[in-house]
Amino acid sequence: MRYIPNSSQVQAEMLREIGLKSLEDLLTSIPPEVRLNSSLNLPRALSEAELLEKFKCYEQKNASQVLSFLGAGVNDHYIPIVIDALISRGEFLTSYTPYQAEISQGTLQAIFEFQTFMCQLTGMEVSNASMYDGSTALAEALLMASRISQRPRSLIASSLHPEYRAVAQTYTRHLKLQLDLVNFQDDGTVDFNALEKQIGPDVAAVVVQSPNFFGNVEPLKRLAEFSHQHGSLLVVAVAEALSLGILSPPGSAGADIVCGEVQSLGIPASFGGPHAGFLTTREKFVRNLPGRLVGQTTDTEGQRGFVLTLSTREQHIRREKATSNICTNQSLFALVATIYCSLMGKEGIRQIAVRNVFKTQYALSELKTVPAVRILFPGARFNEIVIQLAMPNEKAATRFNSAKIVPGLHLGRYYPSLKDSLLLSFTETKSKQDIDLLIQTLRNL
Amino acid sequence: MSLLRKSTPHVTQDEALIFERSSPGRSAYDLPPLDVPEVNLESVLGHENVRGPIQEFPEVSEVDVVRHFTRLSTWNYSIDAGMYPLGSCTMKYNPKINERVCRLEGIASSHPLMPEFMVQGNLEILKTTADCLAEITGMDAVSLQPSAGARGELTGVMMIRAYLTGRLPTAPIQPVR
Repeated sequence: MRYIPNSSQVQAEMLREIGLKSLEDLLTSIPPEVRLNSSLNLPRALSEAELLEKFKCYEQKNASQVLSFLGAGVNDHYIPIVIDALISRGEFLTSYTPYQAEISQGTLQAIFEFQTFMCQLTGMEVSNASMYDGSTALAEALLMASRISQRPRSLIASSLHPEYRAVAQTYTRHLKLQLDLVNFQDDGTVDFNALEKQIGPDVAAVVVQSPNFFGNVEPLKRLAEFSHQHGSLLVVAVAEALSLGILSPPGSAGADIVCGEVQSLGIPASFGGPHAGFLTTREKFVRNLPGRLVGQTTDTEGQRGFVLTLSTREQHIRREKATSNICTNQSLFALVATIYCSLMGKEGIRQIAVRNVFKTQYALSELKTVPAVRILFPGARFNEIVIQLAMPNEKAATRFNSAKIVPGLHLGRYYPSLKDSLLLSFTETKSKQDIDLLIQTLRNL
Repeated sequence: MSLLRKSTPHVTQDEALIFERSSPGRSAYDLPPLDVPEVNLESVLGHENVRGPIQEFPEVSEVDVVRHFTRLSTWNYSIDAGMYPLGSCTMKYNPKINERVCRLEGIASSHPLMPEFMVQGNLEILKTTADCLAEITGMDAVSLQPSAGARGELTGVMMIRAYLTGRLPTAPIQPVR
């Protein structure tokens, strides 16, 4: 048995030591009616060589050599080799959640650095130790806003990621929290006239994504002023963390909670996960954070050390006082984001963000020259563009498929009014040649 | 019995924070030459939307980063170093092949919103996993959606609620007295 260290000889010795005859004797305390009496109908265990081969076959069943401009919350960025080398160290990869501080200082210090990076990126004061992903971070942010304000309703921009909204709906469905959608205006950003009509003294938070689902930067300062005037919090979701390398931090605009996804910071797409989320806020709200955070302290000898603190989970404190049942989560991917931010550094995080802007602006200027393409939502954007095609999506899709190009996400799937529109992402991984090929294909539709 | 000392404690038992290792002018990234025109950031993004450099971000070289995180790792106890007799999170050995397989380029780089015909391999992996879990648990169907055990609990509780709510009109739940 490859993964089980005890040979049958050793097992026999152990059984003799405790006075039993067979392994079966160990199971006598389990009532026969709950025992599994037949063997499971599972495929034969494969040797490592067969296993690797099998998965290479799966890999080959995925389309290869595809030029994809898909983004929509899972972004294609270059991942430095150093990351895999470091996170593959068994001490990081196979360590337990850091409950025992004295044997987990590596993980604890790394999480402390993660929290620091998240605060620097977002311009906020405190960060928790990570979340599952962007969508659940948003759901927890909504619950948090209601805890703080004791108000039952939130206004969510419909330009916020539809899947994040769906997860938020699921989390709040049974909690007497009402989520009302606020429409977007012609430039793709949230419609202030609609906000004015929908706001009220029962609104816990105004919730937007920036850059929003269409790639446009929301007017965060104005949104913060508006929310605060009405005694509501401003919650900002960031699905493209790299945008914070160049875009003004939501914290400086006055946001109260900033949450989102760190997949852009060194984590592969992996068909949707595992990725990792973050949640940051103002210091005055720290006791309302879900999950836990790592704090700095000194040991009995006066040396610096790190510990889990403010664990507000129902296992640690009274259930009524608990903020969330989230506990250990995605620490390895928080580590990835920490290593990525360290590698990029002050200069790199900005340069890569700027590179995304350059590629997107080039694509934008080229797209404008294609007669069959109309650019929607003209506002400021980071690395995504929404276009409308002069032909039905289905027809265009056939052409793109034969060119092995995935031009972007069909928005009709989420927004009936945006039928025949595509959301395209242009990151630093796309060469001029790639963009030109897309433009050429669009021209020939 | 005298034990041979195989290794010494690490040179630094008090590894500084990555931010404290920063030294102006160091960097650990590079980019290919720019192949598209530069644009004026303030004019395309709007003056109010452009931030300055993040002054608190560290300036470190690649070797600084490698040493920093390697040193941190040595302070962790882990399954690869020894057994962890703990129940709730079942700290078992994770076969190393898992790490290799999940990094296969055609799997790791695939986007979740790709057209289904382009990701048949991924879907087959998920289906096979779900089928195995159904057989092992003796259940009819499997959701691979929850990201973690705690979230699996939430999913389960919500499913129970949805089931009972669906049955309510015909079979009201009697409170236990």
